Amino acid sequence: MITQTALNRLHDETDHLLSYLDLSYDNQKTFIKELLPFSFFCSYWPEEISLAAGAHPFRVFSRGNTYSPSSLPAYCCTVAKGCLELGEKLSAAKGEQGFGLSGFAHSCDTMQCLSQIWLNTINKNTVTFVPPINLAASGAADYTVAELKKVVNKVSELRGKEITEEDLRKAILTSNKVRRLVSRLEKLRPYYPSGFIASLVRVAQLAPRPEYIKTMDKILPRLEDIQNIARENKIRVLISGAVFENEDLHNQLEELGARVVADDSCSGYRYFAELTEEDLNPFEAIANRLIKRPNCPCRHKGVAERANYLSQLVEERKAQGVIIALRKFCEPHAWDSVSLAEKFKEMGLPVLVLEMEGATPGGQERTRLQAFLESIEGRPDNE
Amino acid sequence: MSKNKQAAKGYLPLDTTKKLKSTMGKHYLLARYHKYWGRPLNKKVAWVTSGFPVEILRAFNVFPVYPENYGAVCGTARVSTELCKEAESAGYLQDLCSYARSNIGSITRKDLAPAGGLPKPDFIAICNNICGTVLKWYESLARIYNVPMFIIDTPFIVDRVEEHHVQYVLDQFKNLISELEQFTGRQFDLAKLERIISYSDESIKLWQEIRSLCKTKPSPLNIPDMFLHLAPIVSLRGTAEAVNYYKTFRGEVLTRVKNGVAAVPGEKYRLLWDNIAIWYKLFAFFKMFTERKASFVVDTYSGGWAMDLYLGNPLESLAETYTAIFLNRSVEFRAQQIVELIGEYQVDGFVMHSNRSCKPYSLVQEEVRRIVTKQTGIPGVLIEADMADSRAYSEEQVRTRVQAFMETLEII
Ligand code: SF4
Ligand code: SF4
Repeated sequence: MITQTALNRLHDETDHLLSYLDLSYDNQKTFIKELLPFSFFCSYWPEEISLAAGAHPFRVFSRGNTYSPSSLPAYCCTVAKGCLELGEKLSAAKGEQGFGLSGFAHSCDTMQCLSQIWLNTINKNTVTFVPPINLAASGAADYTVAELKKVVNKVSELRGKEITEEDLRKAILTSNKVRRLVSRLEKLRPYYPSGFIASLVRVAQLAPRPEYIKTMDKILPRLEDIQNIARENKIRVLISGAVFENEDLHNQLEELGARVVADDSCSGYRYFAELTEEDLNPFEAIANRLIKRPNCPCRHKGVAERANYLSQLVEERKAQGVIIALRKFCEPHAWDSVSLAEKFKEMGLPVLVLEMEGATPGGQERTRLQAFLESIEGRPDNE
Repeated sequence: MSKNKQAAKGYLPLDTTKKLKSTMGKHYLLARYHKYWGRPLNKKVAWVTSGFPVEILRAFNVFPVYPENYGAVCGTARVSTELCKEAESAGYLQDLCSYARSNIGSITRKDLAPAGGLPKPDFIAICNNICGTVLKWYESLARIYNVPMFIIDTPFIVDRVEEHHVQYVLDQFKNLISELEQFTGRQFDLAKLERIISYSDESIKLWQEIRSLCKTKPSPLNIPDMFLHLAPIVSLRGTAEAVNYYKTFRGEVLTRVKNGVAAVPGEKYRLLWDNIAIWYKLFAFFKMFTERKASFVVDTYSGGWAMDLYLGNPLESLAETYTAIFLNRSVEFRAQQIVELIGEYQVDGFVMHSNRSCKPYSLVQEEVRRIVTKQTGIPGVLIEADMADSRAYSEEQVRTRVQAFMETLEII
């Protein structure tokens, strides 16, 4: 097992980076003095556009538990409610400046509504990008290119400065560097505590990208030096779900003897999967990547696409069980959970569909997790 | 007109309702026996979302049935809740759209399902101009029945319909046409499509006209009438039958207007309704208003089928029309639509059904309410319920809110 001292040392070095996890709620101004914040919400927002605008893309994560903002009803997911309440608080305190520019990528019905409320009540400088719902549709790529151009024009207008193809090209290089680093981190999931890796993945959506690259360039090779890491006897699980605004689920799983070997959440690896081609026209390249990357349940590539992708991931990572963590009132993930659970059961894999109010598992959920892990027969084979 | 019926509804019933029953009865009867006549006539059956450009399917002789309309039928017949429970026991959570749950439940509970359920589809066709839920719902159907799924993706319109939106939808139409040619073994016939579009156009115009007649004071119709008589424009859009039907309906409404007949005798307040009906309480709910001489003279939901058909090349016109529908539009658009309706129909107040099932419709309502009241000074209220699943309806709460709202109106 990796020693506590070694871990502490790593924590020290990642400390500054991880402090950006706090960015989303109160003190981003303390961290980013020079940069214009560009808040975004969905993993389909092309962060290259924010970077090309000379802004700092940061993903809005609320604390992920219960909220009651004034303009959303009780039967809305806490992901959206959390973002809105955060928005209401921050704009009350700092006015529209709090979120700089905001970028939405149209996804589920709830996000569609949130983007509208956000534009009307929180931040007038909000841009919505509407990617195809059917990524396999004929004309999807051409449409995406046209839509990206429109979004870039809108952002240029708000910024008062034209975003050139050259700006986009540079931004692509930066985003790709981050994506390569996160892909390397992904490979380390079996060796390090689940919450630690998850937080390094999540912070890549919050920290200024150059700083992330610099720190990770330094730390990753050491993390990758796994020769001396003692293998732990953990139950290997894949988790799938919408956004995890904190690492509480990962940490609890770890405490209960499990290791998250694959994280198919909207805030996990899916955000980073696939590179944007660097020598293609930047609009086409960004469009291609969005179409190519593993899709979330809000988009379609074929009725079996997600089940196939996830079962392949299960095999690659040798997961022994799957936890589908649903957010109460989240329709897209709830729909998929039925067929995914069936598919995994067919594969002989234990599945737990866990509905949670927020991002933090409560007492009851913890008991269910524990029972589920206990039911997974046999011990892991120290892969 | 029987006095009893009027007492039950709390307002004046329509003669055309008989024709509605026979027209829709025939549609569901044909659906039920499709298995006997569909194959010999090479008429495929498709399950279709309410906002799908059905005209294209009809041009290929397809027989469309509408799970959403069927959801409303289940709601009115008060079997939705049981059907929903059936879907829930198969793993579909209670928070999913109750039309979808009713539909999925009806697949296995034929004994409960009105008209014995919908006929097994040969394929399914979805357009996301009304919501994202239909994509997920129909993906599940495609898996359950193992049939092809045709999608028309209409991007959400943030401000206005632009060239790239129309181009994208057109590209998909072209692809759909070639897939349908293969699937049905029929050649695409542009003249036939034009004929079908002209039927749609005519019924839409009749529907618009009937709605407009409610600008009259007192209003000849109360909104539950519109909800019920909406069925043909959803399910039979693009047929001569729908056109004939709405001609009859218009005739009756015109007669009422000429004779100064009010749907709610002694009409004192004129209200606007936002969102889908509460089907299982259709009359009991509106009775709380008619008792106070309040008539719902207009709504946003049935207005969804009073869309403006764009002119020009048939496919382009369909692409634009179906992309521009109101549920695919911004809060600003929806608020302005209500503001205009309030002016045109001389509305005193508006009631928004905060419908747990339908998130795209409901989650922005508070914001829409704020904008509308700010611009018009007209009060609005949100009432939480569900269109088909009666478990979400709290009699006590609803009554209290309605009472409080009506008292506000009385003071004004
Ligand atoms: S995908 Fe689910 S969790 Fe995410 S915003 Fe939409 S409804 Fe909420
Ligand atoms: S979510 Fe709303 S628009 Fe979509 S099918 Fe259900 S009721 Fe209709």
